[in-house]
Amino acid sequence: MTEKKLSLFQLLTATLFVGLLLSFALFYLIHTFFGHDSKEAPTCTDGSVIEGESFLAKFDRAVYQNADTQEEIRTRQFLLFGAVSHPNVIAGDNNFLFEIENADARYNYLEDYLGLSGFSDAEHAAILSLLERRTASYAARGTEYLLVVLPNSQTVYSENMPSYVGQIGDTRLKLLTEYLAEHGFENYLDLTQSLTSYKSEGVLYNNTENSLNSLGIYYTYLSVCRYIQKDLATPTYVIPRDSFSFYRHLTTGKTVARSAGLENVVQNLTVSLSNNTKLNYETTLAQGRVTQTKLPDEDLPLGMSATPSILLQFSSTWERLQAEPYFSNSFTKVTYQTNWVDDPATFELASPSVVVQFVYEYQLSWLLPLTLPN
Amino acid sequence: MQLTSPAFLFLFLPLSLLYLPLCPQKWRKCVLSLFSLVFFLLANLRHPLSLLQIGFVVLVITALSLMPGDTLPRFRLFLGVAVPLALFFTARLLTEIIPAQYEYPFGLGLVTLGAISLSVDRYRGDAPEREGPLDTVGYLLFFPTLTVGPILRYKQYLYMTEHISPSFDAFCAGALRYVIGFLKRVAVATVLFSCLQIILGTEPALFSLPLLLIALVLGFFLFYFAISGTTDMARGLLQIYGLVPPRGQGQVFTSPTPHRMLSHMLLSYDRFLEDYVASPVRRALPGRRGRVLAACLFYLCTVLFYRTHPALLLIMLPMLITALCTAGRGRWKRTLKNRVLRFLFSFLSAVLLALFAVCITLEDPMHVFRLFAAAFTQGNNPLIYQTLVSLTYGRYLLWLLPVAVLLLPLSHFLPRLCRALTPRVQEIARALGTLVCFLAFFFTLLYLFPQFPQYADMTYCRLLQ
Repeated sequence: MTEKKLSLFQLLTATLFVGLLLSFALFYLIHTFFGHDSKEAPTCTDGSVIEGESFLAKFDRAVYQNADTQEEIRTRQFLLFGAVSHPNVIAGDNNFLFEIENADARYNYLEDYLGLSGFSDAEHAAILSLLERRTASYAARGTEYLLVVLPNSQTVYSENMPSYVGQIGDTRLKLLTEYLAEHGFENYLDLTQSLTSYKSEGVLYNNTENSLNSLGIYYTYLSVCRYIQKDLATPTYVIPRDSFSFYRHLTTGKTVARSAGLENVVQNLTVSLSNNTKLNYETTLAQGRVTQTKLPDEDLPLGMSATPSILLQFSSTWERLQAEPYFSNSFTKVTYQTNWVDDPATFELASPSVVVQFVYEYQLSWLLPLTLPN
Repeated sequence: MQLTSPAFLFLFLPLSLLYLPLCPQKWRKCVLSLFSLVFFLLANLRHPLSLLQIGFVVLVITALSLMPGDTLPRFRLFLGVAVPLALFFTARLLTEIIPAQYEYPFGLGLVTLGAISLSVDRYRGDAPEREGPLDTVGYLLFFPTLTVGPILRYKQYLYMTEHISPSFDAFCAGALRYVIGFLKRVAVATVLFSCLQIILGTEPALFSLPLLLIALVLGFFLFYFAISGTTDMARGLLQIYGLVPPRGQGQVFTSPTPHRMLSHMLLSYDRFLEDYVASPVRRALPGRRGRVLAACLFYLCTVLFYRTHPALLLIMLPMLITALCTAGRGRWKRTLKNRVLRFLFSFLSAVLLALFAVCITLEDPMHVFRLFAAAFTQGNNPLIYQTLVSLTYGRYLLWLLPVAVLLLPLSHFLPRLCRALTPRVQEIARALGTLVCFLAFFFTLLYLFPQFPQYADMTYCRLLQ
């Protein structure tokens, strides 16, 4: 009797086929029977949810709603193909992640970047009218008003946007700046050009969030101070860059990376102020949305008496905290407000020479009145 | 449950394979029929209405098969054809009219074709009479072929199931074929479908010409990989279970008639239509008239098998015109002019097929016109490469391209190359090829398979129902 010889092909096929199927089957069965709830992702990779408590539903969840598997997939997808499967996130160059839409602000970054969502003439006129009213209102109280617009990270770092998106178009910020310049409105500072010119000094934005890092905030401070000094002719003490030391370190990815589930894969290049930064000012009031700091006269440079009192209006506490070491170290009295409301009590407390409102590019539509004139 | 769903791959398949060494030869056919029934029940478990619909067809056909052969043969033929067809078109229409409320029953298309085939064969005396009801049920619900075939004839099925002879050789060949089919379906077709859906979901304001071109190319290859992948899996499974699979599809890309290209892909649907529609018409009406009528019916059956949206028949009218042009010609003589014409018609067929694939993917086929208009009126057209990498799986597809460019000619020349090699080298080359396939299989199971729940467990919307 002759025994048929087992070929290499047969040996490989049978071993690999049975081996792979059984390994995966065991892995998923263990997850089905002994898997912990924390290992179950809230949704499948495509956003769907497998419902039901039957064995088959649980088994399907072990395959498709497996947190470990999903993290592995996201990591491989980004590392191998440079792609992010999240519908609201684009992977750019140099580890930059960009958001596509901000649902809260009802703002589409991509459409604006491509120049597809500029303000209409009526909207431009409405914004100008609002800003003129604000300027006049503060002027009546002997205070200068300044609106500072902080551009989106894709506007300043447009070279990091993926090439397939195309060139940056006429963004609503660009068009608004042109419109306000045409109509002679001067109490307005668009930081796009200034921050773009400071890019050579270091990374100014977080690569995994549409926000400025400490260095970016420093250059914002610098630009604002120069503007106040020059255009508003107000004496200002500007702290030179050498007085601060910044350090760069990698941290877990911020909001955009987190929303794409890539916080452990795409790290954020964080630029922070050194812990030994000298804080000469003292906080005299911290109540609700209002914080006030005072700087003793002796901490001002020689020959400089009191600098003006300013009121800074931010949209979030985090921005205020980042800006505090710069502004509070150079102005005698700084009042921070974490909203843009013209509150008489806060105004009286601050008695400012200048009111500076900080607005992000994606928040520009908040300058529009709710109902536009026809 | 599909042939690519986790429950099938990791539970049903390993468990059902145990029957091979354990079950005695005389029981294998019955056990296989029971497996088919269990597979069908699991596949439609969440949709009782689907169970009822298919159950009704199976019940009617089984009851008819129990009647003696000389009892009302025409009435049996009428019922055997009309009942499955009526239920099939009702289901198709309901899917078009109330897609959110109605779930198309999994496997209804193939059950319908099987029922018609069985009824006509019985009428013609081409099928054995009075087999057991379990045979009829097993034939209609035969699980390896329930998704897209191959469509088996009843006598073919009986021959196969009566000669189940599992062997280690067949198991290995079947396992490799299943793996190749799985790769075609999950690693290629699913990704193509996902990209196609993203493209077709693009706002018309952002649509561009490169996007349209990519959509057409993706649509064409999606069709090929989805269908040939699923039939490869089915054929592989048949071999694994010790059955002898029917022959594979022909040259799918070289048919000068668009709907023939389509039905070639569906493996035996082409043969089915030829046997049960075109040949009888041509026999009844000899000459050009018969050919033209057969072509029209062929076109109608092919398009309606996928979708019953009236707009689709209208949009795909160029398909019919091309079909009539080629049908009117009769046989193609081997001249240079004919070769050029055949090539041009094949190209046109491919374009029309791609358009068909795009249309059936869309909820409203008329939306394709809006996309065309947007593509041709959009001024800013990015490069095709840029558009492709903008898709989530665009870079993955770019990786696949060189693999395809390398593998397609290799698979063509492989038989010739193999003949020139010594048996030892052939063995090593085959083992290497197997290893590459299983590496890709592992990567697919690990990385791609868990990403597409909706395509693994359900059909590609209307594409493979």
